Amino acid sequence: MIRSIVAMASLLPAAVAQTPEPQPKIIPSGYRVETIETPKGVPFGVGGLSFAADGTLYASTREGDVWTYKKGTWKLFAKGLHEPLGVFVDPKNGRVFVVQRPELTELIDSDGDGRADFYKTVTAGWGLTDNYHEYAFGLVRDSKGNFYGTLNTSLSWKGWAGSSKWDIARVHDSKMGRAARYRGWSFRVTPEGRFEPWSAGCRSPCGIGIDRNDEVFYTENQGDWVETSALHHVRKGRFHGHPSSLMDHPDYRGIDLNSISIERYTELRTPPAVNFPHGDLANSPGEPVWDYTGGKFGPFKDQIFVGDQTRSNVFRVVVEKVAGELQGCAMNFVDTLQAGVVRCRFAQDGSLWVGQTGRGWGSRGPAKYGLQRIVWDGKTVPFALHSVSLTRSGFLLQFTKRVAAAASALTSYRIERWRYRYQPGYGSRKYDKAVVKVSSAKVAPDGRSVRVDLDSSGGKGLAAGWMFQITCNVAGADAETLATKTAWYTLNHLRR
Amino acid sequence: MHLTRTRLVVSLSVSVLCQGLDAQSSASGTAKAKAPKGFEKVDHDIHIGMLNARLRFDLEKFSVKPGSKVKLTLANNDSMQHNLIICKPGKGVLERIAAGALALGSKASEKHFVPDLPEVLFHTNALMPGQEHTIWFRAPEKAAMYPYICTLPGHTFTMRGVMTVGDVGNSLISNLRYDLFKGSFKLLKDMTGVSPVKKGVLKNGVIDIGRVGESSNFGVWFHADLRIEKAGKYSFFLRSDDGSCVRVNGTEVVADDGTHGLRPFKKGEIELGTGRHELRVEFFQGGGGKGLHVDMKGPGLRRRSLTANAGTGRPQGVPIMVMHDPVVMRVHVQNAVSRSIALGLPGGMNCVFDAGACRMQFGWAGAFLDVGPDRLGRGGRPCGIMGRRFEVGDVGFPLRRAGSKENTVRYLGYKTGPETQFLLDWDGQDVAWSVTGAPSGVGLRYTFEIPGIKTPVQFAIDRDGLDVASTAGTWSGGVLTVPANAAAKFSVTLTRSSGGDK
Repeated sequence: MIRSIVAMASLLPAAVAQTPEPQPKIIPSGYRVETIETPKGVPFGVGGLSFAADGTLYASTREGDVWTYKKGTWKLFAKGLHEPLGVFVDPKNGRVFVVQRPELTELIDSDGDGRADFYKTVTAGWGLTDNYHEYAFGLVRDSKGNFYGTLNTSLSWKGWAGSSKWDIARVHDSKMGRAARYRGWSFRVTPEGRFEPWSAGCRSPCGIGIDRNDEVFYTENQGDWVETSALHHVRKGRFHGHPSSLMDHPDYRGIDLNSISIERYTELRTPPAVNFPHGDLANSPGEPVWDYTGGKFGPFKDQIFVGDQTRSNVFRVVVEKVAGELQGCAMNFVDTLQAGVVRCRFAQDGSLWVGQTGRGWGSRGPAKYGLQRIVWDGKTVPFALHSVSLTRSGFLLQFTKRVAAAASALTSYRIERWRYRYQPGYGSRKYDKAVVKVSSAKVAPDGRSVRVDLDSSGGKGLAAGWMFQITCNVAGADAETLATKTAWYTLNHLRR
Repeated sequence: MHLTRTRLVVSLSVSVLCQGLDAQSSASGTAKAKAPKGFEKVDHDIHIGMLNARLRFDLEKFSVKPGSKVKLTLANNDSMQHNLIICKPGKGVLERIAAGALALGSKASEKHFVPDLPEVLFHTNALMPGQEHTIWFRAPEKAAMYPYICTLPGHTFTMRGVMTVGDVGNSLISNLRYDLFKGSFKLLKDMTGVSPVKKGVLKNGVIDIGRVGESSNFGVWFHADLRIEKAGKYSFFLRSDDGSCVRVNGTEVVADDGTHGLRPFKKGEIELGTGRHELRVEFFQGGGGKGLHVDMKGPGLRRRSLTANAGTGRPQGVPIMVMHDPVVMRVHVQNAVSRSIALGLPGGMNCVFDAGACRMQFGWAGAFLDVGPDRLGRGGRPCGIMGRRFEVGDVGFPLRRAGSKENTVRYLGYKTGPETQFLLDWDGQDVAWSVTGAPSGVGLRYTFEIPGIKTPVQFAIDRDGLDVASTAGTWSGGVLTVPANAAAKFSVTLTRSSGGDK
């Protein structure tokens, strides 16, 4: 018996802790968090994570390095980069790309010594000043070989002495603006290296992600023109809501963006697919990743996982197509990790690696930076709210396990709704917050889902343009308590 | 009598000043530097630190009596490695010693960056951040100015000081003592009537708040004899964090009272006769940053500092070192364009390339970069150069084709290695531009490789203040024309001409 444990332990990477680590306050049963020791004495604010086909992890750091991690050993691969906030390793041929402030770069190890020696520019198609907020985020690629990334707006506010240094175009007195070309855009770079501005209206788009159907998404941080942090669905030509980027849009050349009303901007923008309520779930989300592990990470197959920098948590998102557009729900998952989360990636073994940095942005997790991974034990299915989808009369709540019969009681559900206001000011409070009456709750024959209908008389129930907070006080069939009992659903469109 | 290095007495015990270096701390944390025989009592006790991330010693001059016993402690409170070498006076000595340190190559670390040259008189070890090292020596008998430097690569340009050997009795202040008070003082008068918790002596005659043993919530009165050679009006200049004042013979000359950060110098004047006067500098510190600067000037006396450059606040810099290989770094650099590539070259030359317009912007001699502005807080801000800027005659992308108006260039990337190469596409022609430090003097050497070029190539520059040399071609003003048969590979060296360093 003892011998077999020793044998198993020797197969584990050296960095995996031998003694149980302290676990986060919120973590579903069957999951555990492991801390990966980063290179000793090296500031390691994670900016990007990517796994090569052989399982080697590439991590870019805000301090300008790219490190590889394999079998418990870190090696420096590249250095001297300008805050690289995204890295991509080609799964087919191992080519390494990073997005750094000034450009998209291929890192080439031409002599095969394990260190990049040729820093080859792919494109430097966007504008850049030394305004500290001009981050370039990435990096994902679609099945045709196009890269996608996002460009942060420039920071400015009245009375800040530093602001006069740059010529920052702001709209309706907002805090962020445009000091150089394509600030506030998502971009595409073709396999030939051509830079294409892709969608406008981003503010602080810290994370970009792509699903298996080549649909691109980015996460937005609450602020001016952003009512709460959110997930946006990116399509070419879309306007996501922050107007200063329109200066670089061919349709708005020479037009005074301050002459366009907020109402008109509201019509022009594609609202977020999923809002993340500020203070409840996320304050500054990082990149979205999809659980395509085929069940290796537990019962949340194909769901989206997002980490948050301020709260230092990881949460789940599920989108569905309603009236031709994507919208959906978000739920907390693991909370609080050791430091602010900006990057998440699934490893081949199905564990979720979480790249962290707290410096300068502040985070609940007290560490300055770090790397952790969330591992499922491969057998324990936690009792959790799995997802929420919209029906014509309410919501279908799905659970990971059978619910107790009492789940049909109306009092088991508390549903509230509110609206956010899209505006030039910083964020939005919750307007018109009210409890919505539940009119029925029907447990499906398999006991795994509950159909909850709302009393929508007098316009007080289901309505487009509202956020819904759904809290379930439901026990499992074997008296288990819910690991995740609250979900937030962004209702942009009603089901027809 | 001439002094040789064999008379140097060195204690190798190294004590560790701050946390973060656990290994050294457990190995030598308790080892206290012990004076060698005959040096239990010394005439001068000199203490030298660094200004964090600024490549300066915090004490840049001190005086000792000929043949006196000196105890010198170098405390590395900076965030990079340093040493200190006291050298013989003479022309070109510092340059020879710096070059000799560099020539040690891979042996440099074990030899503490100290070259085996007769001009080296005394030296400390090369100290890691947080370490300190004390040496004892007998001062030379010959009265002269003995320069001291740090010989870590690039540091020699700015880390310099002078040990004056001569009649210390003539120095402006002597018999420097201090009274230390504990308490959270808000005004200078709060110290009145408080009993000192400690009294001490500063033998090197430098008013230094870093040497009274407290970092916050303390006050200190420095007392000294002020020796005036010429009667007349004397000015005192004062700035501090927090409050301070200067009194001569009990009269307040200038004050900067209250709790505050460092602000511009305040000035006060007083008429003084020849002879001895009583100087008192009062200072108190609450929390946070601290600093005290007192300068004076008068008849026949150029403005000079009575204080150590000492210690303000907590370390803020993140200096990047260049040792034996070039360091390439993409960051914002002060006074450079946003798509800049900073290049630190072995030997103390540095430069910054513009990856947009494919031109060299400027260079600097010294250590490389303080990347604190990019690494601390939210970061992303322009980094400071650590040395003295020199111009490289920038006129934009420097290559031309004789008689051709077309001159577009695109940046393709860079290659790292013993030489850094910038790769360019020049109207469809590949160009590799490598950069090293100039073989001598302050400047850069460029090598252009233009494979397959069939036409003459011109290299253009603003030659003002520069000496130029090239491996091929002929100069006409600021334009070097390289014939086609030599254009596939040629080098240009730019050095700051003597007199160009103004």
